[in-house]
Amino acid sequence: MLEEGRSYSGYERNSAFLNLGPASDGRPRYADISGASGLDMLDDGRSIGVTDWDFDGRLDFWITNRTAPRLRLQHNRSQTAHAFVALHLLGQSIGARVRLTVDGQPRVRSVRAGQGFLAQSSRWLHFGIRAGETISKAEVRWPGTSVYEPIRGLEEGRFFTLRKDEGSAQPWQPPQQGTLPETNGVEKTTERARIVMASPLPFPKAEYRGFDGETHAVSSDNQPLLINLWASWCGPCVTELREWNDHQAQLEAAGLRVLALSVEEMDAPMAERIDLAQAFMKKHEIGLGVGLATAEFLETLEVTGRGLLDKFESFPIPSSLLLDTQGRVSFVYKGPVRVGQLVQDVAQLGAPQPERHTAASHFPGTWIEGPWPATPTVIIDKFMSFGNPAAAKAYLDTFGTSPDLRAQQDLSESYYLVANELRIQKREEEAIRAYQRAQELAPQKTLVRLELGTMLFKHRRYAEAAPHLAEALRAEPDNLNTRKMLALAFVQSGRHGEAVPHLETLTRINPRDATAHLWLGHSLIRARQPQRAVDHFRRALQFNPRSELAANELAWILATHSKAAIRDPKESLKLAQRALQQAGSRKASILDTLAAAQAANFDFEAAVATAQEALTEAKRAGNARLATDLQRRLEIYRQGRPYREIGPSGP
Amino acid sequence: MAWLIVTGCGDREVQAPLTSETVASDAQAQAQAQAQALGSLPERGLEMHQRLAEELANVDPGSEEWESEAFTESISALMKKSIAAWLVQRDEASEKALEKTLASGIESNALRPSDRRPIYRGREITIWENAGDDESGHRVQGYEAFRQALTALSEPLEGASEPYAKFKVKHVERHEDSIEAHLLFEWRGRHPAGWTQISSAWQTHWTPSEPYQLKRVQVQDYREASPGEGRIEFLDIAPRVLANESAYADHLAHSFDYWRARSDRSLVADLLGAQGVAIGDVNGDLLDDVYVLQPGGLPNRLFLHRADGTAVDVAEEAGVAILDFCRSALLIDLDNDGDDDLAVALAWAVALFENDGGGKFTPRGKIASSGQINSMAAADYDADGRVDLYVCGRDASGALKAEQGALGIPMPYYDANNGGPNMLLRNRGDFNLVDVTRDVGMEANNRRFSLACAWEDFDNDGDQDLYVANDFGRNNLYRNDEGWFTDIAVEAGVVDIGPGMSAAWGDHNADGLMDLYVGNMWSNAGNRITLQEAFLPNADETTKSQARRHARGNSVYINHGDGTFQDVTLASGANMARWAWSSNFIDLNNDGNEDLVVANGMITTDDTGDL
Repeated sequence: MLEEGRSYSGYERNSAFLNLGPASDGRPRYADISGASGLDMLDDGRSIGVTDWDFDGRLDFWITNRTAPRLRLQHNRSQTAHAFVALHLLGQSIGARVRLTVDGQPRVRSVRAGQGFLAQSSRWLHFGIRAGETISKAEVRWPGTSVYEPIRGLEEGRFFTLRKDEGSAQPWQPPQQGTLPETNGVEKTTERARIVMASPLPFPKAEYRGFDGETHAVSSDNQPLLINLWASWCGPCVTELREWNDHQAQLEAAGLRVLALSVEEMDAPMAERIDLAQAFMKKHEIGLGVGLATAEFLETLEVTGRGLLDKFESFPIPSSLLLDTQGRVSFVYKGPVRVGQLVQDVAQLGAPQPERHTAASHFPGTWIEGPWPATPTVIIDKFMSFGNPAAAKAYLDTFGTSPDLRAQQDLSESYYLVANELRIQKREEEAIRAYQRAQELAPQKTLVRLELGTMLFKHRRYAEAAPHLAEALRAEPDNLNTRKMLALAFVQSGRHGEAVPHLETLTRINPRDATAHLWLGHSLIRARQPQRAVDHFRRALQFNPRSELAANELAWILATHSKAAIRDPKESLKLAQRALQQAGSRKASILDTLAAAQAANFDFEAAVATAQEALTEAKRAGNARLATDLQRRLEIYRQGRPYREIGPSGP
Repeated sequence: MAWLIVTGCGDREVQAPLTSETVASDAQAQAQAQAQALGSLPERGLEMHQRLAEELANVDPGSEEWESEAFTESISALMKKSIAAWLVQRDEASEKALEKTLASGIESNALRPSDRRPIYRGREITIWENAGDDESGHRVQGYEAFRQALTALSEPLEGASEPYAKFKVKHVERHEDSIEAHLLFEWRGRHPAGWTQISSAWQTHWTPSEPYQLKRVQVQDYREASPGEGRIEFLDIAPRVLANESAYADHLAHSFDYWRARSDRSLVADLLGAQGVAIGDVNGDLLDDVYVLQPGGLPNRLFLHRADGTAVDVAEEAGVAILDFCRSALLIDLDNDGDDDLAVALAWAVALFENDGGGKFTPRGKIASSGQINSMAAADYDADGRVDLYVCGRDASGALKAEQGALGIPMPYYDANNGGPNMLLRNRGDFNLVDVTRDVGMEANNRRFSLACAWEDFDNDGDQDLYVANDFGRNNLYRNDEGWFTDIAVEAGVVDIGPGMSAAWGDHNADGLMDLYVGNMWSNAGNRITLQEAFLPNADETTKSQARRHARGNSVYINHGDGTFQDVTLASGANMARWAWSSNFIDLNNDGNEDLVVANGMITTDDTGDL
């Protein structure tokens, strides 16, 4: 909404409140005198610094605005019967407080540096003194002390200075104020402007129609290019085009190519538009590069304008953009531009960055940190609002790496936004590439890491996902989702030792998480910690008695582990049967376990039969590797031996 | 969450997880929500403010609450065209509009009550208030009678120049046979004798359907401010003080938007136009000079006060025509050599400059900030004789957000603690300022969206305490105990949860104790929406009241002198200061009481439409 330049809680009038003096219960009473003081300006006011600017004993204030004028000095012309006394504490006085006793009542003011909003008021302390009041006591407390010292010599209606340890205030005579000069007024502004880009961005890919009716690419061809918008009804356009035409030699010498695009009769058929433009060129004998702007071209131009300028206002006719040899928009002209100016600006195109920054500033001055580097973010955003993230990504891909870290960050952010859009459009491979680019540009950005890790994980690229997920987790250790993905990625890439601590954390956070226990058991057995693996498989079964996987894995260990202390053939048999029941079908992997359990119970006949059934199943399911293993185990059972292994060798 | 995986045992192959998709999509949904919240506008904070009116209302298009905003718009337009226009100028159009807007048989009490009595009578101004006891005696009924009541109301402003009348809708409620709307009425104009201002609350009833007509008016809280023998009056003399300055005519006379439309986005990239002023004395003549901050591409201006009352921009010669984006600065003697040095808040750094005593400045380095800097305030917190600097960093830097995996959007918006960190910079001499925030206890509650800060010894123990006003949440009062700070905002009763914009110390009630005035925003839309029953239907009362406070306006606290403050906002008469930015104490009429001025208004552009 704000981008579109709409008001937002605007038209609010500044406020002033008159203090009516405290009520009998000590509460303050104020009256709104915004209107009655004339201070209710419609400005978007911002900061207020109080001062008695002209030493007339009445407090004025400087106020800054967002609107014009950005600065006012509100001069107090109130006619009151009251007086004042003002005091300037010399030396380091910030934090000092002066207390007057006026008609028995305290009146306090402090020296402050910074109060209100973005403001520092005058260090002069100003006390209003009502008509008829007398100051019976004046004291000062210097900064860093808690003791008030008396001030001698104050009298109303005057200005004083006071130095620490002097005790006596010295009268100070303000300079005689002259009559202020009359204002010369402010010139009315027009929409004409020559805007120098501090951080040029490339003009996006765009096309126009030639007088041949064909579509042509707007391309700088390693030569400065001036894109101009014109119409035959626009007087300044005619003058401008003719001037350029008359000085073509000068423009050519400068190496500048002109592309003047007509924006006339945009809704008319192309042939008509061509006739119109051609007739005009002929009539005025103009031999510049010409063509017709299309609606798409104007859309691209608007996208560019919004991206380049801090506040977008439509381009008036004529308007021109000067592109450098790399196709970057370097100057924007709203309204006509003279040949002399163009030649001068073309000569500036290759200027080093500090010179460009100076040229882009509106008045002389000094840069300390410099402007922000060019950021494609807004152009990207606009492309995406037109539903075209691919164009956005293509635009981004034209950017190289920059030595400026802020530029890298911005580019990264843009890739990130584009990647999100691509992901939403389910163009996941492209999204992954955009996330990867965002990540390379700003490796510390953990949100990008999380997205990229998640996408890779989703695409089962576990080994690639793991380092990104690990970084994301480091930034947000409480994110259980991330931890689970990371643990799974480790498990899936056979990095069981690394998976174990994460799985342990998960089981600690949620001790009833059967799946975490199952995975932990799975990794522990591969990390050669069989006893702990058995414990976690048991817990997995405790919290999810229907887990076929937990039953199967546990049964396998209890049947086949090489350490007798781990083995429990009887339970193994029960568990294998239970797994088979849970599975609801005779899966090869479970039959394999059942056979091992039967063999462990020395029932080799059953083991051979079960293993044979498993073998058939495995072959039917096309699991060649399991089939080979089963063949090997079948031989062992036939020899009347149980199958043993130290630990699984698989991933 | 389900995250099963199909696997085998032993050396059998581990198959790919079937349901890891579930894991991925959960995490993705989360990340996606975050990404959507990320947006790409440069001023995300602004959007958050807007959400008070929009998002938080949980308004369903088509629901009654939604209609109430449409109704508000309709009657705002009606009042503007009819009564407000009629008061400002009685012509055919306004007469016609009046006739159309008033229901036949309209009823009201006196629009300008006759039982007015002065509650304040000064030489320069008299404030009248109605006693509130003439209701029965002055019934008005029918079109003609109402028109007469309007004529009576307009009497004190008869023939006034620069007239301005406005009704704002504060609260709307639907009844069976009418719609009730609470309006705030303001009217002012100028006579040769000075300004007159009338304000009152109109409790109105309207016909329940379009075309809406005004059926009943009950005027309350009538106030009239009229000039006395003297007057209160201000005039902008900047065009004359700076009459010969190109810095004024060619630069500051133009709006922020004028320059934005002519600037590369990389120069400014801001919507708020919040730049401040620092008043000091750069050449030791005891005349106040003023340093004016500017956004990127436009130089800060240093206006040197000349003896004749005019001012001249010497920023360039002085070496402080800084072109970077700036918000605030302080003119303070950092090296104790008796002249005002300069600390300038760039967006992400404080740049220091040494004054040679004659108003020429030399760069003395800069201190980086992880928060985007807004206000600064200086005081000698550790009583070592050197002034130290407190710096408000409102938004967290991109690097900080990245480092912490955070997004930098105030969350929750009414009590956010994920902004940029503030810094206390201890002055160790020779322009060596060191961040001691952590070492002095100020790390507590230090991730608020701080806009303003002010030092004062509120507890009169001789050291400087600090109040910090934070946008989107609760404020800080750091009590100084021998250089160690404790945030005692809660115990002291000055949390002031809300959109804190400014902080000012001063004595509201002339008892010699330093009180507080805190800038917040008054939002009619916020009031309308948060007062409705349907507002946050599922939220608890605390949340609702916190959200409501966000629209309550400026806050007035009085210091009890025992370490606690009392919130006297609602009875003070100084809270309705609109969308406030800076507010400050100033004795406008020299009667010794501290008055208040408030700069306000968010973003005004040429289109219509007030939030």
